[in-house]
Amino acid sequence: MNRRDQAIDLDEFGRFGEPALLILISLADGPKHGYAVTEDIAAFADVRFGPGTLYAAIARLEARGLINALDADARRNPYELTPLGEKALRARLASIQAVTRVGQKRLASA
Amino acid sequence: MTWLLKLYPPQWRRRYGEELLALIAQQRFSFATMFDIIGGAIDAWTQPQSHLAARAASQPEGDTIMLAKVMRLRSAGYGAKATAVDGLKGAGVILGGTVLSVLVATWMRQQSVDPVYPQALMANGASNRVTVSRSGVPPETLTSRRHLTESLEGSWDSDDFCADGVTR
Repeated sequence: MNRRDQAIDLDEFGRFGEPALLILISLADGPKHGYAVTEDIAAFADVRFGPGTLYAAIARLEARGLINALDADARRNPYELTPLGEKALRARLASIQAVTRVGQKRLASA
Repeated sequence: MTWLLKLYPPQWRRRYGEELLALIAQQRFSFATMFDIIGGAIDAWTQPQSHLAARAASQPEGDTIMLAKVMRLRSAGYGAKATAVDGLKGAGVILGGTVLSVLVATWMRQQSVDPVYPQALMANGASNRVTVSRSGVPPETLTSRRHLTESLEGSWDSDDFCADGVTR
C-alpha cells in the first residue's frame, strides 16, 4: 500500500482521525495501555481524550490492524504499533508535513 | 460512572469492558467524561464493525479471520449478523441518547451552567449524525483533503517536519 493510500486510511476514521493519529504517535516509542496512552498524549499534545473517545479510536485501529493488543497486564491490555500501523503513521506525518511546509512558506512570503 | 458501561453492546463490553472500567476508575467524575462515554456507546452501536472486526481478528483461525478480513475491507453485505432486535436496540440508543442530550443541554442552559457542557452535548449530537451517515467524514471534506494531499505530494522534505503541525 503506498503512502497516499495509508493517509486515506486514517481519513476514514472520521472524527476519530485525530485521536487515532495521536494514539499511533504515543505507541511509536513502545507498547502502552489505555491510561498510559491518555497521559502520554496529554503530555505531548496537550489534549486529553475521554475514555469513550479513546476506546472508539483504539477499536478502529485494532480492527484495521494498525495496532495489536498484547497479553493483559492486570485488567489492562497494552497495545503495540504493528508494521502496518507504523507505515500509516509515517504516511500521515508526511502528509501533515507537506501541509505545514506550504503554510509556513506562505506565511513567510506574506 | 461504571454503570455507563452497560450502554455499550455486549460484544464491545466483552472485548474492551475491563479496560474501560480500569481507565474510568483512574479518573474523577465529570460531566465531560460521562458524555464522552455515552458518545462512545452510541458510536459502538452505530459502528459495530469497529469492534467486531477486532474481536474476530483476535481468534486463532477459522471463519472469524475471514470475517475480520472482509470487515476490514468493509464490503457491502458482509457486516455483522445483526438481528431485528439489535436494530431496534441501536435505534433506541440513538434516539434516546439524542433526546436525552437535548433535554440535558436545555436544562443546563436554563440553570446557567458553564456553557462548555451544553455546547459539548450538542456537538456530540451533531457528530453522531455524521457518524450515522457513514464513516464520520462528510464526503466533501474527504475529497478536499485528498485533493490537498495529492496536490502537495512531493513538495516536502523530511528535515522540515514541524511538530506543531501534528498537535492543535
